[in-house]
Amino acid sequence: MSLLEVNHVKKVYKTRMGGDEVTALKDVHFTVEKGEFVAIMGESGSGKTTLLNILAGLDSPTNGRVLIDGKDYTTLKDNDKAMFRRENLGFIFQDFNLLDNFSLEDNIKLPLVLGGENHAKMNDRVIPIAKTLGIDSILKKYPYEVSGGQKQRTAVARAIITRPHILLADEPTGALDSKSSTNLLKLLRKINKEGQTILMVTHSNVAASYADRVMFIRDGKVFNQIYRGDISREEMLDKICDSVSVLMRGDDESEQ
Amino acid sequence: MRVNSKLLTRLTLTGMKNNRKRLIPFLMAATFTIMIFYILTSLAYTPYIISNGEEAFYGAGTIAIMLKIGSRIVAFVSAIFIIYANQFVMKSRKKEMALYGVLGMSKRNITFIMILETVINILITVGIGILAGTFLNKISLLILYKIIKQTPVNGILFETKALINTVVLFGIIFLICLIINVASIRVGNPITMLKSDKTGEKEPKVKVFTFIIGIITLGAGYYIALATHSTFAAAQTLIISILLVIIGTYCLFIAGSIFILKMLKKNERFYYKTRNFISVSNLIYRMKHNAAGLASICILSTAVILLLTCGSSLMLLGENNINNMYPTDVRVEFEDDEKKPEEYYTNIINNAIKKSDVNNAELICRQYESIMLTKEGDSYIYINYLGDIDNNKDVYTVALDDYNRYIGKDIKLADDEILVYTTDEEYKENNQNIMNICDHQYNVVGEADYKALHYIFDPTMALFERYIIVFKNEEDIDSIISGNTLTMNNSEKQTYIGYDIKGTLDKNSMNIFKETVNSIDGNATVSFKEEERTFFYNIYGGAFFVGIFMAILFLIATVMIIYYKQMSEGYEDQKRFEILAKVGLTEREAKKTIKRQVMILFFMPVIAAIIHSVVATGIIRLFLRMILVVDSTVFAAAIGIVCIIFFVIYAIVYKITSGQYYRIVYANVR
Repeated sequence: MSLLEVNHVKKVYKTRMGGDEVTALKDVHFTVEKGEFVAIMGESGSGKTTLLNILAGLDSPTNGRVLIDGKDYTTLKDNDKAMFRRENLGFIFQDFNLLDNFSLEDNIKLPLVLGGENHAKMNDRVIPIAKTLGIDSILKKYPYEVSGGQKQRTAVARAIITRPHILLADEPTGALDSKSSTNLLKLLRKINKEGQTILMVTHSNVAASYADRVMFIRDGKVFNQIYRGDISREEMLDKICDSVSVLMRGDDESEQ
Repeated sequence: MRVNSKLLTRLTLTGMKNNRKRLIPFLMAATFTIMIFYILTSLAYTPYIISNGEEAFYGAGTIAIMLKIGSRIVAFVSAIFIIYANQFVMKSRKKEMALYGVLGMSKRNITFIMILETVINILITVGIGILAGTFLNKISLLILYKIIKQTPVNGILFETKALINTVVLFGIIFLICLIINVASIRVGNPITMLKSDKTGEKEPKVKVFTFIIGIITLGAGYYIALATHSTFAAAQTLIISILLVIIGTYCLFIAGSIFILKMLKKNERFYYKTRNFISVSNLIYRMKHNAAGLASICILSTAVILLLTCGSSLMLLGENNINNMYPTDVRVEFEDDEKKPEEYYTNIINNAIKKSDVNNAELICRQYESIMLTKEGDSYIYINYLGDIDNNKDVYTVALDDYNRYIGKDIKLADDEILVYTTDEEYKENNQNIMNICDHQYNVVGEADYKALHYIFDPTMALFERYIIVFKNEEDIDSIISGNTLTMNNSEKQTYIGYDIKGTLDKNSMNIFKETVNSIDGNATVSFKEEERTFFYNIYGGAFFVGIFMAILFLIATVMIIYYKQMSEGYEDQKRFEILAKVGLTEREAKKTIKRQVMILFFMPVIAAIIHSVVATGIIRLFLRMILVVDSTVFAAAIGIVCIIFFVIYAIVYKITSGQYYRIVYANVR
């Protein structure tokens, strides 16, 4: 059984007054296995944000099901959904979403506190993760005192501290300079190697090249997939670039 | 660039409309304060109270003074309050102005917009305030007349002087606001202003110095309030104590709250609980921004509670108190160098009664000597001007023979034995059975019946604790009195005569009576309960009336501050709870956390206010005793009841305004 099963998901938005309908996702169907690092790529408006929101349980599909570990949580009630999200999913966002009134340490501990963990055991979990991510020396600082890269690494620590089934990353390098981006992506790769399943949404070719598999979404459907196999990251990047070109050319043709 | 004024006017109006959620409460509150000020000044200048420098009725002068003091306090409070609220209203406007700046509007144009907005604000608030005030003036006057038991008058009440005062005062206040607003915009650069709330801020540090000052001032204020045991001391220390407590409250809200929260944060077992984690760290930041506002709510609430308690005590116990102070309708006091027989005095009075043609009930005659002693250690000695005035005691002495006659008993005393009655709590607590009076030991063998002499207690002032001491014979008293060399005039024998009358006294017979008594004995003082009642009702009524107005004003100010706090809290928390929701805080948990945090924040000041009020009970009661004697249990109960009522009102206001807050915070949570 796959860890994540996205089963013919369709999402239709209705405008408030009922009139027009906008189809954000036509028919998205794919699976993610345990330990995979998958990147989802697509232009703005391709439906990737909608897909991520549905995976995150922040939105529910019009048709189809999303199963994690064989469990469909899109139909759960709001409260249960939040609990499910907290226990099974970790999130990284483009704009970090750290709470500015908590120190980095407390930001990382937040999910544990919400889960009602014993405070004495928290440090045992925070410190190894902080060391892996290279933020162990700045744990007492506040978000406004550290760089964007450090903030994002803190966000990663917060996301994986609960040992989630899947780590969902939404444009994690979007607000970072190239050096911090590379650094972060290497870290994501490292934690993936340690067994963490990652699903990353991005439109950066470079970012996607760190993944094992890249999925292209276009017009609400999975358009194409590339598997890394044994090739190097540079070769992977080339492949991605090619696919993107095809994707964009396709656009041109349809416009003509 | 030239921007035409029509466009600017339109921009101003749209801006005001978009800011209505903040602007409307501001305008309403300003209108209310203007109305209150206008009503109080109108009454202070009205010919129905003081006409051409003459009192419109007996005691009206006192009321006019209270109204004037009241309107001054209102003016002061309004100024602070309007300037404070203005700051809040401008918060969101500043960004808009900055945007105009970026789009190329000159500072001159922006200033024009602000001036226009201020003018509109003035027109609305002063206009409506004065209009409403004019209608309410007459009603207020009628209520005041009703309270002080004057017959209502006809005629419209309109005072040009009050109008001018109001317009000028509030014109100046709004001008100050305008200057502050223009300055804050001229100083800032548009880009920084646009980004102003994006920068992260440091976690506040505990201001140790402020914290210590707070503890010292609050402690001192409380100590003074609790250690004050006489009306005389209360009259001197009340203001100091109030000021100390106000300073202490501000300091402790600012520094103490953060200190406590930091301590809680250090306690990991407590801090890392779902319940406390978010609240504690949010509150630390909340307190940084809101401490002064919350301290103001606390002070205003305390003022409302105390004003309402004193006001209602005056109104409810006033009549009772007048009856206590004037047990009979007419009182006449004589002072003589030597004791004359009772008949001498009763004859004078009977004579005068006959002449003035009033029906009277039985005459009550009391003869006594009074002396002021001071307590030093355990003994009571003559006043020496070196000791603490606070320890002075008002001592009324009476010989056993007279005493027995007054209460209709036949008590016997041995040599050096005395009976004592006192209002002095300190004496009661010590429960002494030996009293050292002017270097002579007396054995206290029982409690004197205060009814023997309560007629003669000085009705207007009760600055000092009173004692009634019954001595075995006149010689004992003389030896004490004659030993007094320093004080003047209280070595005389005093006689009190009082009587009730049947029916009512008219002014004419009062005058005839007074003249007749004075023609026979020049040392006599005559007073009539009816006259004194009017006098006291004027004091009570005036104080009550002004007190209620101030209480309303403070209440409005409190409600406004709460409202604005709720709103700014809401906008700041919005983002935070959005993030928390993404991380997996359930809506139920979010609601619980928010509720807990808001409750702590908004009930802290009112609980502090209730503590202040309870501590103040004693000193306020003593202070009030200058015009009203209230039993300590009754007064404590009164404060208790008012506290409960206030708490309920506060809770309702909180409930209503917190709706606004939740709407803002939840707007994005779902």
